[in-house]
Amino acid sequence: MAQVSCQQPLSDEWFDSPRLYEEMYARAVEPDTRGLILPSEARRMSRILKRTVCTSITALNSSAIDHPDGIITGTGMGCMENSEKFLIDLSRFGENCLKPTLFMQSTHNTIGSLIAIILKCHGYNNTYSHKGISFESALLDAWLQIRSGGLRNALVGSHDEVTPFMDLVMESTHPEYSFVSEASVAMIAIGRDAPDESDICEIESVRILHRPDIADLCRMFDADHDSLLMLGLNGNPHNDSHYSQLTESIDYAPLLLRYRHIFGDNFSAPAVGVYAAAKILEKGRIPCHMLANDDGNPTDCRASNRHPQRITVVNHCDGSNWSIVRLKSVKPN
Amino acid sequence: MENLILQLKNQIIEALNLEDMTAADIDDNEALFGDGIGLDSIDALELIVLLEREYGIKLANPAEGKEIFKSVASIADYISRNRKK
Repeated sequence: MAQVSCQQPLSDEWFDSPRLYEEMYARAVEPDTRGLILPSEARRMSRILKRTVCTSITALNSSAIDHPDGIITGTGMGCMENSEKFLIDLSRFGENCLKPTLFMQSTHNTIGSLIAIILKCHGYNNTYSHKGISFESALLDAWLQIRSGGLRNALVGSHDEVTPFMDLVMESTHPEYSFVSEASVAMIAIGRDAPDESDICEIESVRILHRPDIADLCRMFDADHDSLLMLGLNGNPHNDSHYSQLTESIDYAPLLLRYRHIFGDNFSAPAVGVYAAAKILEKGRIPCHMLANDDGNPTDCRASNRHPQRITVVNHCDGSNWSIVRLKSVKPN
Repeated sequence: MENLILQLKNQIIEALNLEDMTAADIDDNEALFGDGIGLDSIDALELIVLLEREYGIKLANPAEGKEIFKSVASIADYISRNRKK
C-alpha cells in the first residue's frame, strides 16, 4: 500500500508525526519520482499521473507481484488539472488549436490506462467514477472478482487532485467538506486461502448501500466484528451528523477513529481511510490523534494501546451512499 | 534571427515540458527527433499547435513537417518566411 497526500508521501510518518495545516485547503506533497518514473516519461505526465505511478509502483514493489491480473481505479474527478487547462485553451483558442497531450490526458480513465501501459498489463482494466464512492466501487469489483476466481490479484487505487479553482467551486457545491486536500492511494488485493506474512491485513467484506434506512444500516454492525469504526468524520456538522445518527442508533458503543483531520476531504478520501485502518492493523496500535472521541481524556488515549484485531471503515457520500469495508488483522493477537 | 531562435527554444522547452533543459542546452542545428533531443510524434503535434498559436502558421502540407521540424534553426527559418503574427 502507498499514499501520496498532504502528509509525507510514500511514507508512514503521518502515523506518529502527522503534518498539521492551519489552512482549510492544502495540495498534496509531491513524491520524489526518481527511481520510479523515467524523466523522459515524467515530462508528459500531470501531477495526478505522477502521483498515481509512484503509489502504484511502490505498492507493487512491496508485494511479490510484478504484473497484476487487473487494474481497477477509482477517481471522482479524474485528471482535473489537465481538464481545466484543456477547457481554458478551448475558450481562448477555439477548437482548432488544442494541445494533444492535454486532450489525451484529461479523461478519467487516463489514470488506469497509463498504469497499464507502464506495467505492460493488458488484462482487466476498469475505472469507477462515482464521486465519493468511487474507491469503494473499485474495491468491491476487485473483491468480487477475486472471490469468484475471475482475478487472482488486482492493483486497486483511488486518485483525485483538487486544484485551487476546484477548491473554490467545492466551497459551494460541497458544504459538508472541511479541510480539503488531495489523495492518491494504491494497494494490491490478493486472493489467498491463508494469510501470508507479507500481507498487511485481510479484507473481510466490502459493502455499498444506497439510501439505506437507518435501522437497516445499524443492522450491518455488531459488537463482535465492529468494535472499532473508522469514520469519515471531518469536524463539519453537515458531514458528521450522518455518522452521529449511526453511532447513536447502534446498540453498543464502538471506539471511533478518524482520518480526515490529517488527510483532508476529497473524492478519494475513503481510500485513505482504508489505507490508514490497514496500517493500524499492520502496526498493531492506534495513534492517539486518530481517536475521534478523544477530547483530551486519558482513558480514551489508553484505548490506543490495545492491539486492534478488526477495523470497520465507514464512509458516506452526501449522506445517501454508504460504504462499509471490514478489515481484519493477519497478525497473531 | 538570433532572437527568434532563442525565443523558439524557450517556447519549445515550455510547450514540451523539457524541465531539465535550458535554451543553452539545445544546439541550433541539433536534430529534434530520433537521436538528437529525442522528441516523438506527440511532440510533433505539440509543435504544430505552437506554430499556429504563436506565429499564426497553419501547416497545410503535413509532408513538409519532416523538413521543417528537423532542428530549431529550420523551424526558425520557416517561421521567418511564413509568420502571420
